[in-house]
Amino acid sequence: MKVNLKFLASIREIVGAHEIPFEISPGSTVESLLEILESRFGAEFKEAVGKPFEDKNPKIMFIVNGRDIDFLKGPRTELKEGDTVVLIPPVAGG
Amino acid sequence: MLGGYAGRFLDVNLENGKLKDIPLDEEVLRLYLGGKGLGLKFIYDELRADIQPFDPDNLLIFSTGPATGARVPTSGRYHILTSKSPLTGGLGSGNSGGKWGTYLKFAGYDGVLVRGISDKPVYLSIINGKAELVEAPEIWGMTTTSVTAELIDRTTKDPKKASVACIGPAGENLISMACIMNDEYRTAGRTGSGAVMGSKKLKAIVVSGNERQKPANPEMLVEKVAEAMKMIRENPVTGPKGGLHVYGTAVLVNIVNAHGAYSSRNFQNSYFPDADEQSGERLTATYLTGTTGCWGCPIICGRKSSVPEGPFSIKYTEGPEYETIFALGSNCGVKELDAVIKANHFCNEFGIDTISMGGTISCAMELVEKGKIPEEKLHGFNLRFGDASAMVESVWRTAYKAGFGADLALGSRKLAEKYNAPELSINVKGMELPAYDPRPIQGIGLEYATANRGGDHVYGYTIPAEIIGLPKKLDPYSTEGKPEWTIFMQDMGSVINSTVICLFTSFAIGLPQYAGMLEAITGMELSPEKLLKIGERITNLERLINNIYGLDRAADILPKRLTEEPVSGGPSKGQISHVPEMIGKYYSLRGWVDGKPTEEKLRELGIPVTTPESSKSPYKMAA
Repeated sequence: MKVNLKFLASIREIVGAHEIPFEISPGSTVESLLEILESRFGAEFKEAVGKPFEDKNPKIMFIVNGRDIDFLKGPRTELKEGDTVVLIPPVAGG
Repeated sequence: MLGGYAGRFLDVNLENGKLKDIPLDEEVLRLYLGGKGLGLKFIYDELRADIQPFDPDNLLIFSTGPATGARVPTSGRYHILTSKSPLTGGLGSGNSGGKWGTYLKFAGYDGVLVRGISDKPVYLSIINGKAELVEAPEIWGMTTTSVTAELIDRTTKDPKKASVACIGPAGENLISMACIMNDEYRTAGRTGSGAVMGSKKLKAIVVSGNERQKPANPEMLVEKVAEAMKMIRENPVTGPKGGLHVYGTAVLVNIVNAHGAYSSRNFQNSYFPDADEQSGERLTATYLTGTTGCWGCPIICGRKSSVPEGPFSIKYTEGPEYETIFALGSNCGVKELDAVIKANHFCNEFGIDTISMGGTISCAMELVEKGKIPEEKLHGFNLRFGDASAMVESVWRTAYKAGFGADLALGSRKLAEKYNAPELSINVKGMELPAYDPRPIQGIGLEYATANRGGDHVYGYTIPAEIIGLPKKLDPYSTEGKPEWTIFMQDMGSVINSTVICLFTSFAIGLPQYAGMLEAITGMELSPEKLLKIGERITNLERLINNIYGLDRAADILPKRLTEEPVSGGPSKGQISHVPEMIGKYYSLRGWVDGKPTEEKLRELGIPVTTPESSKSPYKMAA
């Protein structure tokens, strides 16, 4: 199945794209998606995201269909066909 | 005298041209710090309940704090207050960076209090403790960048040694959303203070000097500043490679849009499909020419930009900020970032608040869309959502009240009332709403509704917790804990605006660091709890002033669109603001009844509870 991935700020520069359709297996979770992305985009990506589900101050946030996964099922949030997943590094504004 | 203060305000009477020093009262400083708090105290002491925005006794106050010009991070700021805002009818308030506040301190004053109306246009010069009013009809009409260059040329001739705060044509023309600019591109944006300055025929204040205020405890200050600087530099948001420095505030465009909270078309939608075309990433890749920071700031979030070619070309400008991109961009249905850059530049040159400008243009666009404005009233102006040229044209039309610009100059509330569709103005207390749709973010809705200056996002900035997870993560859809968090952030915001430093420091440091630095500067014994109590006092005093003007519970409401019309599509589809369900708890936690502090609460905070003798208002304290 396909999900829509969006990369913001510094993560976009590493990946080299803002938005990509991405093929994953049915039943995939955010956690399993991250594993695939780490292997696809390599060491720089892996270093940039750190260990987002373990770090005290995670280097990356996951937004699935407009919701921070911390308010869904965390890394075990299951993805469906057509979902939009946004990866956001620590940034803020005003 | 406490450390860190110059110890005096300059009282400027434009009626008779007299200037005099007001020595600062140490006890008042202990209660209100400086900046916003101190300015409010001056206003309250002379308050007249039936004052009108362009009356001579509407005070215009420029107020620094003990941190301004001290060696603490982001200490280049100052606060502006007016007794009455022409936009909201409540207390007027704005805050700005750059270097003007610092240079005022170096010139030997903590603040300037302006009263009266001058017969002829004047500017005020304060150089090394010597203040002078200069009649200058020839500078009336100049744009902000031109008058800044002119006054620097007339004084120090060196832009590094002098700083100018001024109004542009919008302030001169009493446009309700006119702002006061300083250092060309820095803005005390909101509540129309520029129109009050224009009504006084005061074009500018130029400041320069070499006086340095001494901290009470220099060794402690070095230690506390080092601690704060370390935290700011190591923070992934505020550090040298952090998101704010690399992308500017515009980095929020895609993030807020991803949450379905980036409003478009006058808040008819909460998601803008073309957001990436006006994002911080796009700005950085396409139009950025450099970065710039305020005095004493290690974050450096300012943008230098240019549009090299095309209908919106401009060789040099600064910005735009996130709020501006939303207001002039998505909220007008405009996706073209170059058009936003051009309109932002016009707003800066003419001295117009970009948020209210965008909110008013988008309101007008919807009025046109819904057929509320008769064709002849538009004078041929083709104003439609998504039309970038019309959006840009609206700015100069507003500044000069040209054609339909005279209607835009009213601001969205009066504009929508004029055309019998008040529900199409998306405002609180008459001030147009900022760039976070409150339907999927409950805390910011409560902030919009209760902020004393009207539709405001930075008095109590809940967004870092609700969207970014700083300093803790709060579910934006939930109302749980939001009254508490909104109150905390509002009172901390009062501390920050009275210190005066930048709100963005709060991404990395907090009350313990603020208390430590302020104690070292002033010599006051401070703690996070004591500081928060000062913040609460300031918030309550501002609320009391609004109460005396007749603003109470009825003014603490969001537009019906946000509480009655669920989001129609996008990631936050179905969400709605629950402010009506939160406001009772908010008042209860505040110690307010129907939006008014009780006499007991005011006594607890040490705020004089006697309604000023000059008041003609039927105002009664809450029981």
